[in-house]
Amino acid sequence: MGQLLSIADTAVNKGLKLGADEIEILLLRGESTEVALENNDIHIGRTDVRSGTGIRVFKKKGLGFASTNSVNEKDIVNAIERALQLAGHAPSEPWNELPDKAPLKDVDGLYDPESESFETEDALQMATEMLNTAKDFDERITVDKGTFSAHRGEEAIANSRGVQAEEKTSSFLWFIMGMAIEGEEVSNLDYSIRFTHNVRKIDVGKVAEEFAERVTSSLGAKSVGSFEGPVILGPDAGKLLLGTVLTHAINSDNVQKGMSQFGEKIGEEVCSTNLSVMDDGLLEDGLATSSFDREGLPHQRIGLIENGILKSYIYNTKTASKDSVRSTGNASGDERQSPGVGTTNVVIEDGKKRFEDIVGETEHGLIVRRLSGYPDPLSGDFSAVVKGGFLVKNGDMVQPVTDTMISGNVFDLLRRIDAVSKERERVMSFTLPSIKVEGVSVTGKG
Amino acid sequence: MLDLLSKVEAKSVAKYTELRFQSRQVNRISIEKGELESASSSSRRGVGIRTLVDGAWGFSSTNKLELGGLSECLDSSMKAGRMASKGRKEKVESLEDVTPASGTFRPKVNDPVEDHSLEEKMNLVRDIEERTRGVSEDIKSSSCTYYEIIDHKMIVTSDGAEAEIFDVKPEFSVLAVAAREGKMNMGYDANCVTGGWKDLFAEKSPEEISEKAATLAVDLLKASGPEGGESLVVLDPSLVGLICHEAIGHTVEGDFVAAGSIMKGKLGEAVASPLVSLVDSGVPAENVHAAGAIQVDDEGVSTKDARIIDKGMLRTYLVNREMAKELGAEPCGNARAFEHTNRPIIRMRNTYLEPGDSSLDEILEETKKGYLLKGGGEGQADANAEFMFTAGEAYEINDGEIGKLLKNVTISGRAFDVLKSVDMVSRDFWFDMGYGMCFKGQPAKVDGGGPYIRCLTMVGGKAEGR
Repeated sequence: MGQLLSIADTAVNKGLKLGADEIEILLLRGESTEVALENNDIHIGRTDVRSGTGIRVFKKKGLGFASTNSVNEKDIVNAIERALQLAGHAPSEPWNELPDKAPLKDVDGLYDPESESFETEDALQMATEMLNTAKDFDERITVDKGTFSAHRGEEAIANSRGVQAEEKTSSFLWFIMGMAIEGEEVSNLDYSIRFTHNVRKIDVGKVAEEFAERVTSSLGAKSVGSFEGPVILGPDAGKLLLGTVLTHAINSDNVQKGMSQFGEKIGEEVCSTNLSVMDDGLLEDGLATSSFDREGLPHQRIGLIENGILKSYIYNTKTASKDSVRSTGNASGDERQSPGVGTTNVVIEDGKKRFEDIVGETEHGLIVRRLSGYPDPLSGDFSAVVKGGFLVKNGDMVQPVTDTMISGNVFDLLRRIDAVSKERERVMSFTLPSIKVEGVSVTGKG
Repeated sequence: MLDLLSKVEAKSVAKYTELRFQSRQVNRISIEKGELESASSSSRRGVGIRTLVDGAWGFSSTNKLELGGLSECLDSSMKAGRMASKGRKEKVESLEDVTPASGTFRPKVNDPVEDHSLEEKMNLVRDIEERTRGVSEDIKSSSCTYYEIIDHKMIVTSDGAEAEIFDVKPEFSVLAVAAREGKMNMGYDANCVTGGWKDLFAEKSPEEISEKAATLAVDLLKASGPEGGESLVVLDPSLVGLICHEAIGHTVEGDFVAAGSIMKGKLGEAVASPLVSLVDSGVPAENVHAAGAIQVDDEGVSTKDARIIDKGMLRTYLVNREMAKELGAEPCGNARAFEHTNRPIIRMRNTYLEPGDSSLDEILEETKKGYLLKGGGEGQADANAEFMFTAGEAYEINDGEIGKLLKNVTISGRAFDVLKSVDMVSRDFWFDMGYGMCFKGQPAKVDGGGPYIRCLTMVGGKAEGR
């Protein structure tokens, strides 16, 4: 048992003595170093040591939760008392039970020992390389913001039913954001971002070039004439539209509360047969990969939609108990909140066609790399502004697009998926192909 | 704690040192469809130290609140600054002079939230959530959330700031879900203020918030989407706040201007109709309870109004002390950090458009065809001033009359084009954009408002003639 887990274990016993019927302790501790870019230059360096405790208690089946940014015994006891006070006022609810212990498997590649010698100086070198690569790519590039950050942390969960889980992770995140400027013209803002657990997988140059290519290719963009037709959603746009709506709809908590369009639809066809979606908490080098969830239960790989058929919702212990099923290991959240239900890494299966063939077969349509908007996860309605768009005519990308909007309903689009690309990209915790959908309303001024 | 911060500051050899202590308590009660979803109490205490060393910035934060821990944190901050300096090409020579804030600052509070018991708050949230489901048989689900952010901060800088700050921002919100014949829609309403219990419910009672959310959710079941294209739109004060925030506010943030936002080099130029005067205020005289109200920012600068646009002319940018020097603007207290672990960055506070001479009725009368758009929206800004935002409620306007409710209405445009097209501004004026958060790497509580205005924007929707 590591030091952090032993603190958690002690706190569980303390909580029981203080009057909790059941208690769960999550402890986090970590250190990070970061160098940030601003206005085409290095701006600030920082190092932080962080910690936190999240405490969930049940008393007479009433819920209480408290958190503190400390792992000191005195602060933890104070937080346990606050949680118990809340639980004392809470209604008794039958599903308020903690999970029993379940066997965990170690996940490889979450902690890279080389991260121990990664210093602020290394972060500076990475941030500088990222900045210089972008600036050298094209003189029209201007970098507004960017960061390179390195983090090492450990997490421990213990509860009064015997759950005991602990894990160490290392992680590196880097992103760059800005625009291209030519004369009076300022392009749309764009960005590129990557994540890894492994020092050797850091590649800032690639991200800088990807960002630079995105903003320079959008110079000279114009609006297009309004039409209804096919739209090829790139991974980023796909994440915003399909990702937002699907992750809401397959969440058991929303289903049980009558807030999901996928309620009572297990086994039914909910989208085109060329779409399959998984939740994979064990994905290699995934942003949300770890061996256990927010309740200390094992992460899994779950088929949510297989060839268009809805297969499963995602569950934590509470929602699973209501449906008399087992938790899928999707308890989510950090130490500041009581566990909810959430996806881990969402993976949309790749398709059969190459991206360039999908474009080649499009007579008159739009490629949408990124979208600025807020789809309504409940109704599926969306209306958003196209960023990094291209007009396609007779199979060719003829013109970058700006000042153009697309709108429709995501649940309708899911049934009109014409093609799914072979190529996929990781966009934070999502892995997605490009997806061509038919019959989208495009509004422009052209 | 102030003495301790000063003691640590005295040890610093940095050109500028800023120590911020923050003790934050966030209490939340949330009930969804009759179930207690959250009863939580989050407590965070710590110090963030920012230093300017060898012409570059360093930052570090800690939760070790004694001399040893804070000294260590100061060393880490300076070390990180020295490191950043090795990579920084343009060194920061000095910061703009300010009169540093000193003393104790408290917001105006009517009926402190602390005087209302946990039991009372829990009962209110439960009753209102239950009430919401009773508004119509089409309401299938709802949730109600009360939360309060209670801050105690201290700021000490090497330029002499020594301020102790208290702040309270409570928020109350209701979400209603209506469903019928396979259709599902949600309605939302909320209020957030800086102040107390009475301030929170001064404009709208909990029952009114519930009624609004439920009625909207049910009405949206019958609504269809708009036709796409350019159109005249009449925006209510809440959305005027949002357009001020997204279309102009973000593009005049000094860090963004320096990097080359479209507003760079446009001081003194006409960027909007002469009817447009736009202000970002620390504590608006018109409403001291605005949700973004702060009296002192996180660089220890007392807040003032930043008059961004005066009768259509761009007058200033929003700056911190570093950018004030670079861009020749006055620091008005726009450097904000969310928690002690965040560094201060340039943010808005309460952004509003000043009222005009028309009435809403006159504006509607003059509008043959267009849309009336009301609050509850979310938005985004871009470097080229292309903004977008969603409207919580949207109605057709036909021959000056308010027509049917529409759903899924998002508008976009270029800030200059849209603000130059403003041709009518009403006398009504209020703030109503305080709930939720603005994200720029870290969250911030902001507010916004104004009068009703009419302007020309693009509306996303079905291609015409289909």
